[in-house]
Amino acid sequence: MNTDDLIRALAMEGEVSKAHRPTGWRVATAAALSLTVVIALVVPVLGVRADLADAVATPAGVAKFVLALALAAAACTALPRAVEPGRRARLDAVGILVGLALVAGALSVIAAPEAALAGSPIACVVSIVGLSILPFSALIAALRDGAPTRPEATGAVAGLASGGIAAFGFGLSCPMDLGPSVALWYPLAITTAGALGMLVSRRALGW
Amino acid sequence: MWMRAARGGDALAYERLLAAIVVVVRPIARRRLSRIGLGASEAEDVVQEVLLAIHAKRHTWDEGRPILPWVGAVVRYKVVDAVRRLARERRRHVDTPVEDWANLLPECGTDPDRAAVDAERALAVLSGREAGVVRAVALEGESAGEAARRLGISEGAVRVALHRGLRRLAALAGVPVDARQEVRR
Repeated sequence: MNTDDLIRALAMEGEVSKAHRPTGWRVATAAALSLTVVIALVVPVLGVRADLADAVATPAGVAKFVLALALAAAACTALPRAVEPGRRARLDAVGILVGLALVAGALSVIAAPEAALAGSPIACVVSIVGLSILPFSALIAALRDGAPTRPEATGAVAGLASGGIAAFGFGLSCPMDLGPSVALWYPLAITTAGALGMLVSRRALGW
Repeated sequence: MWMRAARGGDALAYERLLAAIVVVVRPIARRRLSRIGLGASEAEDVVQEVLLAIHAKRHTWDEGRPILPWVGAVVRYKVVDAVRRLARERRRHVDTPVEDWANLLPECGTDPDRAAVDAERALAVLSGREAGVVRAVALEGESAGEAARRLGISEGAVRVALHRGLRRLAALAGVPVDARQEVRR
Protein backbone atom coordinates (compact mmCIF):
# COMPACT_ATOMS: atom_id res chain seq x y z
CA MET A 1 0.00 0.00 0.00
CA ASN A 2 1.04 3.54 -0.74
CA THR A 3 2.21 5.42 2.35
CA ASP A 4 0.06 8.48 1.61
CA ASP A 5 -3.02 6.26 1.41
CA LEU A 6 -2.07 4.66 4.69
CA ILE A 7 -1.81 8.08 6.32
CA ARG A 8 -5.22 9.07 4.99
CA ALA A 9 -6.76 5.80 6.16
CA LEU A 10 -5.23 6.12 9.62
CA ALA A 11 -6.39 9.73 9.88
CA MET A 12 -9.92 8.60 9.07
CA GLU A 13 -9.59 6.02 11.85
CA GLY A 14 -8.04 8.60 14.16
CA GLU A 15 -11.19 10.70 14.12
CA VAL A 16 -12.29 8.64 17.02
CA SER A 17 -9.66 10.24 19.17
CA LYS A 18 -8.00 8.16 21.80
CA ALA A 19 -7.40 9.86 25.09
CA HIS A 20 -4.30 9.18 27.13
CA ARG A 21 -4.72 5.86 28.90
CA PRO A 22 -2.08 5.35 31.57
CA THR A 23 -1.47 1.84 32.87
CA GLY A 24 -1.03 2.84 36.53
CA TRP A 25 -4.40 1.58 37.70
CA ARG A 26 -4.21 -1.57 35.63
CA VAL A 27 -0.82 -2.42 37.14
CA ALA A 28 -2.01 -1.69 40.67
CA THR A 29 -5.13 -3.80 40.18
CA ALA A 30 -3.14 -6.67 38.67
CA ALA A 31 -0.67 -6.59 41.56
CA ALA A 32 -3.34 -6.41 44.27
CA LEU A 33 -5.51 -9.10 42.72
CA SER A 34 -2.64 -11.49 42.12
CA LEU A 35 -1.33 -10.97 45.67
CA THR A 36 -4.77 -11.95 46.95
CA VAL A 37 -4.86 -15.02 44.72
CA VAL A 38 -1.32 -16.05 45.72
CA ILE A 39 -2.26 -15.82 49.40
CA ALA A 40 -5.49 -17.70 48.77
CA LEU A 41 -3.42 -20.40 47.09
CA VAL A 42 -0.67 -20.63 49.71
CA VAL A 43 -2.95 -20.84 52.75
CA PRO A 44 -4.77 -24.08 51.85
CA VAL A 45 -2.06 -25.72 49.68
CA LEU A 46 1.17 -25.04 51.57
CA GLY A 47 -0.41 -24.19 54.92
CA VAL A 48 0.32 -21.21 57.16
CA ARG A 49 3.19 -21.56 59.63
CA ALA A 50 1.82 -22.31 63.07
CA ASP A 51 3.62 -19.48 64.84
CA LEU A 52 2.85 -16.76 62.28
CA ALA A 53 1.24 -14.42 64.83
CA ASP A 54 4.25 -14.63 67.15
CA ALA A 55 6.72 -14.35 64.27
CA VAL A 56 5.36 -11.10 62.84
CA ALA A 57 5.62 -9.57 66.30
CA THR A 58 9.43 -9.79 66.06
CA PRO A 59 11.53 -7.58 63.77
CA ALA A 60 13.21 -10.56 62.07
CA GLY A 61 9.83 -12.22 61.50
CA VAL A 62 8.16 -9.21 59.94
CA ALA A 63 11.21 -8.01 57.98
CA LYS A 64 10.96 -10.58 55.19
CA PHE A 65 7.35 -9.59 54.51
CA VAL A 66 8.17 -5.89 54.56
CA LEU A 67 11.12 -6.36 52.20
CA ALA A 68 9.21 -8.57 49.77
CA LEU A 69 6.34 -6.10 49.66
CA ALA A 70 8.70 -3.12 49.34
CA LEU A 71 10.36 -4.67 46.31
CA ALA A 72 7.02 -5.52 44.71
CA ALA A 73 5.76 -1.98 45.36
CA ALA A 74 8.91 -0.33 44.03
CA ALA A 75 8.84 -2.45 40.89
CA CYS A 76 5.12 -1.89 40.29
CA THR A 77 5.56 1.85 40.74
CA ALA A 78 8.25 1.88 38.09
CA LEU A 79 6.25 -0.14 35.55
CA PRO A 80 3.66 2.39 34.26
CA ARG A 81 6.41 4.72 33.11
CA ALA A 82 8.28 1.91 31.41
CA VAL A 83 5.41 1.45 28.97
CA GLU A 84 5.10 5.12 27.99
CA PRO A 85 7.50 5.81 25.14
CA GLY A 86 9.86 8.68 25.82
CA ARG A 87 9.76 8.27 29.59
CA ARG A 88 12.36 6.52 31.63
CA ALA A 89 11.28 4.24 34.43
CA ARG A 90 12.82 5.15 37.77
CA LEU A 91 14.59 2.01 38.83
CA ASP A 92 16.72 3.37 41.70
CA ALA A 93 14.56 1.87 44.44
CA VAL A 94 14.29 -1.51 42.69
CA GLY A 95 18.03 -1.55 42.03
CA ILE A 96 18.89 -0.70 45.64
CA LEU A 97 16.56 -3.36 47.05
CA VAL A 98 17.78 -6.09 44.68
CA GLY A 99 21.40 -5.08 45.29
CA LEU A 100 20.95 -5.16 49.06
CA ALA A 101 19.21 -8.52 48.88
CA LEU A 102 21.98 -10.06 46.80
CA VAL A 103 24.70 -8.65 49.06
CA ALA A 104 22.82 -10.03 52.08
CA GLY A 105 22.63 -13.41 50.38
CA ALA A 106 26.34 -13.46 49.62
CA LEU A 107 27.20 -12.33 53.15
CA SER A 108 25.06 -15.01 54.75
CA VAL A 109 26.83 -17.72 52.74
CA ILE A 110 30.22 -16.40 53.79
CA ALA A 111 29.32 -15.71 57.42
CA ALA A 112 27.14 -18.72 58.19
CA PRO A 113 27.30 -21.32 55.43
CA GLU A 114 25.63 -24.04 57.47
CA ALA A 115 22.73 -21.88 58.58
CA ALA A 116 22.31 -20.62 55.02
CA LEU A 117 21.83 -24.14 53.69
CA ALA A 118 19.39 -25.12 56.45
CA GLY A 119 15.72 -25.70 55.81
CA SER A 120 14.46 -26.81 52.41
CA PRO A 121 15.93 -24.30 49.96
CA ILE A 122 14.84 -26.14 46.83
CA ALA A 123 11.19 -26.15 47.87
CA CYS A 124 11.52 -22.47 48.72
CA VAL A 125 12.96 -21.43 45.36
CA VAL A 126 10.63 -23.66 43.35
CA SER A 127 7.58 -22.40 45.27
CA ILE A 128 8.43 -18.72 44.90
CA VAL A 129 9.33 -18.98 41.22
CA GLY A 130 6.27 -21.13 40.55
CA LEU A 131 3.93 -18.77 42.40
CA SER A 132 5.41 -15.79 40.58
CA ILE A 133 3.97 -17.03 37.26
CA LEU A 134 0.55 -15.86 38.40
CA PRO A 135 1.35 -12.21 39.22
CA PHE A 136 3.67 -12.09 36.20
CA SER A 137 0.87 -13.03 33.81
CA ALA A 138 -1.43 -10.47 35.42
CA LEU A 139 1.17 -7.73 35.19
CA ILE A 140 2.00 -8.54 31.56
CA ALA A 141 -1.69 -8.41 30.72
CA ALA A 142 -1.86 -4.97 32.34
CA LEU A 143 1.27 -3.76 30.55
CA ARG A 144 0.43 -4.96 27.06
CA ASP A 145 -1.87 -1.99 26.55
CA GLY A 146 1.18 0.23 26.84
CA ALA A 147 4.21 0.43 24.59
CA PRO A 148 7.43 -0.66 26.29
CA THR A 149 10.36 0.61 24.23
CA ARG A 150 12.76 -1.45 26.35
CA PRO A 151 10.89 -4.74 26.65
CA GLU A 152 13.77 -6.62 28.31
CA ALA A 153 14.06 -4.16 31.18
CA THR A 154 10.29 -3.93 31.53
CA GLY A 155 9.97 -7.72 31.59
CA ALA A 156 12.71 -8.02 34.19
CA VAL A 157 11.06 -5.43 36.46
CA ALA A 158 7.69 -7.16 36.06
CA GLY A 159 9.43 -10.44 36.95
CA LEU A 160 10.96 -8.91 40.08
CA ALA A 161 7.58 -7.49 41.12
CA SER A 162 6.02 -10.94 40.66
CA GLY A 163 8.88 -12.48 42.64
CA GLY A 164 8.21 -10.05 45.49
CA ILE A 165 4.50 -10.83 45.50
CA ALA A 166 5.17 -14.57 45.38
CA ALA A 167 7.78 -14.32 48.17
CA PHE A 168 5.27 -12.49 50.36
CA GLY A 169 2.73 -15.26 49.86
CA PHE A 170 5.25 -18.06 50.33
CA GLY A 171 6.57 -16.33 53.45
CA LEU A 172 3.26 -17.07 55.17
CA SER A 173 3.99 -20.79 55.05
CA CYS A 174 7.78 -20.77 55.32
CA PRO A 175 8.78 -21.35 58.99
CA MET A 176 11.99 -19.32 58.71
CA ASP A 177 12.45 -15.74 59.89
CA LEU A 178 14.80 -13.37 58.14
CA GLY A 179 18.19 -14.99 58.71
CA PRO A 180 21.02 -16.48 56.69
CA SER A 181 18.77 -18.96 54.89
CA VAL A 182 16.01 -16.54 53.96
CA ALA A 183 18.56 -13.87 53.02
CA LEU A 184 20.12 -16.27 50.54
CA TRP A 185 17.22 -18.16 48.97
CA TYR A 186 14.49 -15.51 48.80
CA PRO A 187 16.63 -13.08 46.78
CA LEU A 188 17.80 -15.95 44.59
CA ALA A 189 14.22 -16.97 43.86
CA ILE A 190 13.09 -13.40 43.23
CA THR A 191 15.97 -12.63 40.87
CA THR A 192 15.26 -15.90 39.06
CA ALA A 193 11.72 -14.64 38.51
CA GLY A 194 13.21 -11.38 37.22
CA ALA A 195 15.54 -13.23 34.85
CA LEU A 196 12.67 -15.36 33.54
CA GLY A 197 10.68 -12.17 33.02
CA MET A 198 13.50 -10.75 30.96
CA LEU A 199 13.80 -13.99 29.00
CA VAL A 200 10.17 -14.01 27.84
CA SER A 201 9.88 -10.23 27.52
CA ARG A 202 10.30 -9.96 23.74
CA ARG A 203 7.56 -12.47 23.18
CA ALA A 204 5.30 -11.19 25.96
CA LEU A 205 5.72 -7.45 25.56
CA GLY A 206 6.80 -6.93 21.95
CA TRP A 207 4.50 -4.78 19.81
CA MET B 1 -0.22 20.71 18.69
CA TRP B 2 -1.53 18.43 15.93
CA MET B 3 -1.83 15.39 18.12
CA ARG B 4 -3.77 17.41 20.65
CA ALA B 5 -6.11 18.60 17.92
CA ALA B 6 -6.44 15.02 16.70
CA ARG B 7 -7.55 14.02 20.18
CA GLY B 8 -10.25 16.65 19.81
CA GLY B 9 -11.35 14.79 16.68
CA ASP B 10 -9.49 16.82 14.03
CA ALA B 11 -8.59 14.24 11.38
CA LEU B 12 -6.77 16.77 9.22
CA ALA B 13 -4.42 17.69 12.05
CA TYR B 14 -3.73 14.01 12.66
CA GLU B 15 -3.04 13.49 8.96
CA ARG B 16 -0.59 16.39 9.02
CA LEU B 17 1.15 14.95 12.07
CA LEU B 18 1.58 11.55 10.41
CA ALA B 19 2.85 13.18 7.21
CA ALA B 20 5.40 15.18 9.21
CA ILE B 21 6.53 12.00 10.95
CA VAL B 22 7.00 10.28 7.59
CA VAL B 23 9.23 13.12 6.39
CA VAL B 24 11.52 12.54 9.36
CA VAL B 25 11.37 8.76 9.50
CA ARG B 26 11.82 7.98 5.80
CA PRO B 27 15.46 9.13 5.52
CA ILE B 28 16.29 7.41 8.80
CA ALA B 29 14.78 4.14 7.60
CA ARG B 30 16.50 4.39 4.21
CA ARG B 31 19.87 5.06 5.76
CA ARG B 32 19.55 2.23 8.27
CA LEU B 33 18.38 -0.26 5.64
CA SER B 34 20.95 0.69 3.01
CA ARG B 35 23.55 -0.14 5.64
CA ILE B 36 22.35 -3.75 5.65
CA GLY B 37 21.97 -3.73 1.87
CA LEU B 38 18.24 -3.24 1.52
CA GLY B 39 16.49 -0.75 -0.74
CA ALA B 40 13.85 1.95 -0.64
CA SER B 41 10.90 -0.43 -0.88
CA GLU B 42 11.84 -2.24 2.34
CA ALA B 43 12.47 1.15 3.91
CA GLU B 44 8.97 2.22 2.95
CA ASP B 45 7.61 -0.90 4.66
CA VAL B 46 9.43 0.12 7.82
CA VAL B 47 8.00 3.65 7.53
CA GLN B 48 4.52 2.16 7.33
CA GLU B 49 5.20 -0.09 10.31
CA VAL B 50 6.20 2.99 12.28
CA LEU B 51 2.97 4.77 11.28
CA LEU B 52 0.86 1.79 12.32
CA ALA B 53 2.68 1.60 15.64
CA ILE B 54 2.18 5.33 16.28
CA HIS B 55 -1.47 4.87 15.45
CA ALA B 56 -2.00 1.73 17.51
CA LYS B 57 -0.21 3.15 20.58
CA ARG B 58 -1.34 6.77 20.38
CA HIS B 59 -3.13 6.41 23.71
CA THR B 60 0.23 6.06 25.48
CA TRP B 61 1.07 9.71 24.86
CA ASP B 62 0.26 12.00 27.80
CA GLU B 63 -1.03 15.45 26.69
CA GLY B 64 0.87 17.01 29.55
CA ARG B 65 4.19 15.99 28.01
CA PRO B 66 6.06 17.03 24.86
CA ILE B 67 5.23 14.78 21.94
CA LEU B 68 8.65 14.67 20.25
CA PRO B 69 10.34 12.39 22.81
CA TRP B 70 7.32 10.10 22.56
CA VAL B 71 7.45 9.95 18.76
CA GLY B 72 11.22 9.57 18.89
CA ALA B 73 11.04 6.61 21.26
CA VAL B 74 8.38 4.82 19.21
CA VAL B 75 10.32 5.42 15.98
CA ARG B 76 13.58 4.21 17.50
CA TYR B 77 12.00 1.07 18.90
CA LYS B 78 10.22 0.21 15.66
CA VAL B 79 13.15 0.98 13.35
CA VAL B 80 15.64 -0.96 15.48
CA ASP B 81 13.18 -3.83 15.68
CA ALA B 82 12.61 -3.86 11.92
CA VAL B 83 16.30 -3.57 11.07
CA ARG B 84 17.12 -6.45 13.40
CA ARG B 85 14.39 -8.60 11.86
CA LEU B 86 15.27 -7.75 8.27
CA ALA B 87 18.97 -8.32 8.86
CA ARG B 88 18.17 -11.74 10.29
CA GLU B 89 15.91 -12.60 7.36
CA ARG B 90 18.53 -11.41 4.94
CA ARG B 91 21.23 -13.48 6.56
CA ARG B 92 19.03 -16.52 6.27
CA HIS B 93 18.45 -15.85 2.59
CA VAL B 94 22.13 -15.38 1.86
CA ASP B 95 23.05 -18.56 3.73
CA THR B 96 20.80 -20.63 1.48
CA PRO B 97 22.61 -21.90 -1.65
CA VAL B 98 21.01 -20.76 -4.90
CA GLU B 99 20.08 -24.32 -5.93
CA ASP B 100 18.00 -24.73 -2.80
CA TRP B 101 15.56 -22.01 -3.56
CA ALA B 102 15.81 -21.81 -7.34
CA ASN B 103 13.20 -24.54 -7.78
CA LEU B 104 10.92 -22.78 -5.33
CA LEU B 105 10.65 -19.71 -7.50
CA PRO B 106 7.78 -20.76 -9.79
CA GLU B 107 5.49 -21.08 -6.76
CA CYS B 108 6.29 -17.62 -5.55
CA GLY B 109 3.88 -15.70 -7.74
CA THR B 110 2.15 -14.40 -4.67
CA ASP B 111 4.48 -14.85 -1.77
CA PRO B 112 2.30 -16.45 0.95
CA ASP B 113 4.49 -15.11 3.75
CA ARG B 114 4.18 -11.68 2.35
CA ALA B 115 0.42 -11.97 1.99
CA ALA B 116 0.16 -13.09 5.59
CA VAL B 117 2.33 -10.20 6.74
CA ASP B 118 0.24 -7.74 4.76
CA ALA B 119 -2.96 -9.20 6.14
CA GLU B 120 -1.69 -9.06 9.71
CA ARG B 121 -0.54 -5.50 9.18
CA ALA B 122 -3.92 -4.54 7.80
CA LEU B 123 -5.65 -6.22 10.73
CA ALA B 124 -3.61 -4.09 13.13
CA VAL B 125 -5.81 -1.07 12.35
CA LEU B 126 -8.97 -2.90 13.34
CA SER B 127 -10.23 -3.05 16.89
CA GLY B 128 -9.73 -6.25 18.89
CA ARG B 129 -13.06 -7.92 18.16
CA GLU B 130 -13.17 -6.94 14.50
CA ALA B 131 -9.60 -8.11 13.97
CA GLY B 132 -10.36 -11.42 15.69
CA VAL B 133 -13.46 -12.03 13.62
CA VAL B 134 -11.86 -11.07 10.31
CA ARG B 135 -8.89 -13.29 11.10
CA ALA B 136 -11.11 -16.23 12.02
CA VAL B 137 -13.56 -16.00 9.14
CA ALA B 138 -11.69 -14.41 6.26
CA LEU B 139 -8.19 -15.79 6.84
CA GLU B 140 -8.74 -19.08 8.65
CA GLY B 141 -12.00 -19.97 6.94
CA GLU B 142 -14.12 -20.61 9.99
CA SER B 143 -17.89 -20.26 9.63
CA ALA B 144 -19.66 -17.46 11.47
CA GLY B 145 -21.04 -19.99 13.94
CA GLU B 146 -17.63 -21.50 14.69
CA ALA B 147 -16.05 -18.10 15.13
CA ALA B 148 -18.90 -17.03 17.42
CA ARG B 149 -18.46 -20.07 19.63
CA ARG B 150 -14.70 -19.74 19.79
CA LEU B 151 -14.72 -15.99 20.50
CA GLY B 152 -17.62 -16.31 22.92
CA ILE B 153 -19.89 -13.81 21.18
CA SER B 154 -23.18 -14.20 19.34
CA GLU B 155 -23.31 -15.14 15.68
CA GLY B 156 -25.00 -11.83 14.89
CA ALA B 157 -22.15 -9.96 16.54
CA VAL B 158 -19.70 -11.93 14.39
CA ARG B 159 -21.51 -10.90 11.23
CA VAL B 160 -21.64 -7.24 12.27
CA ALA B 161 -17.95 -7.18 13.25
CA LEU B 162 -16.96 -8.98 10.04
CA HIS B 163 -18.95 -6.58 7.94
CA ARG B 164 -17.51 -3.50 9.64
CA GLY B 165 -13.99 -4.88 9.63
CA LEU B 166 -14.01 -5.82 5.96
CA ARG B 167 -15.56 -2.54 4.95
CA ARG B 168 -12.86 -0.68 6.81
CA LEU B 169 -10.10 -2.82 5.29
CA ALA B 170 -11.62 -2.32 1.86
CA ALA B 171 -11.64 1.43 2.40
CA LEU B 172 -8.02 1.22 3.51
CA ALA B 173 -6.97 -0.72 0.46
CA GLY B 174 -8.96 1.57 -1.85
CA VAL B 175 -11.11 -1.35 -3.06
CA PRO B 176 -14.78 -0.69 -3.92
CA VAL B 177 -16.97 -1.92 -1.10
CA ASP B 178 -18.63 -4.72 -3.10
CA ALA B 179 -15.31 -6.51 -3.44
CA ARG B 180 -15.71 -7.74 0.11
CA GLN B 181 -18.17 -10.34 -1.14
CA GLU B 182 -15.27 -12.25 -2.61
CA VAL B 183 -13.56 -12.48 0.74
CA ARG B 184 -16.60 -13.76 2.54
CA ARG B 185 -16.93 -17.50 2.20
